[in-house]
Amino acid sequence: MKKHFLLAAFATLTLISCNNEGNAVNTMESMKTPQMENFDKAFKSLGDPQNRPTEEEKKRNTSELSDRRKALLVPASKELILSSGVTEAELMRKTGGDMSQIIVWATQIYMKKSDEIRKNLKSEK
Amino acid sequence: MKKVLAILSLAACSLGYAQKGPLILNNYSVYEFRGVIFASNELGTNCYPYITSQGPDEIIIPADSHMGNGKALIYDNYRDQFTNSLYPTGIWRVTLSNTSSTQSPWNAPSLLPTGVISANTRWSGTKFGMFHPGTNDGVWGFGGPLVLPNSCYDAPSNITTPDGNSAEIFTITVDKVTTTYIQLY
Repeated sequence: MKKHFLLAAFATLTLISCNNEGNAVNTMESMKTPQMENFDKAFKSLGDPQNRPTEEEKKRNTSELSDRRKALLVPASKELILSSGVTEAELMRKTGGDMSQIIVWATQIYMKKSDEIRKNLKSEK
Repeated sequence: MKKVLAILSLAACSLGYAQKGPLILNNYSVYEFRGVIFASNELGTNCYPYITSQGPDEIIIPADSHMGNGKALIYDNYRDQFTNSLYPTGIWRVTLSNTSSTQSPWNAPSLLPTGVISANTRWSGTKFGMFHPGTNDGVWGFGGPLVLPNSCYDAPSNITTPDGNSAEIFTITVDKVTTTYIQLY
């Protein structure tokens, strides 16, 4: 019985120490800005049951993501663009509020930021 | 000679699909993706030319590999993906007609981003299966062809499995730049 208890205590300690180790190391995930995280979440959320293509959307016979689903990506895309120092006025002037342009611009910013993080991670090692 | 004619006729009748934009594959699922990726010319007869990844036999993308953790598959074009992508395709199969199909290395002159083939094809689909990571156990219902709507292949652009996984392919287009997404959830 005692042995079991000791074993359990030891296992717990090991787990805690491993956890802490994870915290100390910077990763791609931990270095992302909140805006980048929200952008990720938005893309992933396209797979949530309520966001999947509706029967009507399936019948459209077009490749392009539907406006309803593009709209799911726009708030996080705008946030990400604004976080890069672009003003709301500039955003509207450059995109005219076009959803695709906003999403594609945000994707470019996202890729650039990921590259920067990757470079920083490399130089830390 | 036949090949030259095929290419010339392609150039002549192409209305300008263009592989002008990247392909991004996000695997958000807990399963491993194994499959091929293809591009085609849906304005041409039977969608020729038709380009399929063939070396490696299967592109393998681990579970949980997406833009969010920097592990997405991103292909800019047939050539540059080999040096820029995490999952390089070294050999493409290029099918110009039902009698002409050849293997081309990623750096073949015919596959240049500015070439006729690139100018007349677009990323159009994948044929894949999902597997429990590191095993040969496929996930039932989570696989098959996934193709952008077109006149040449009768295949869906999205699927949902009984267990609630799903997969889809779609584009987001701005002017002449089309980004094609394949997403697995």
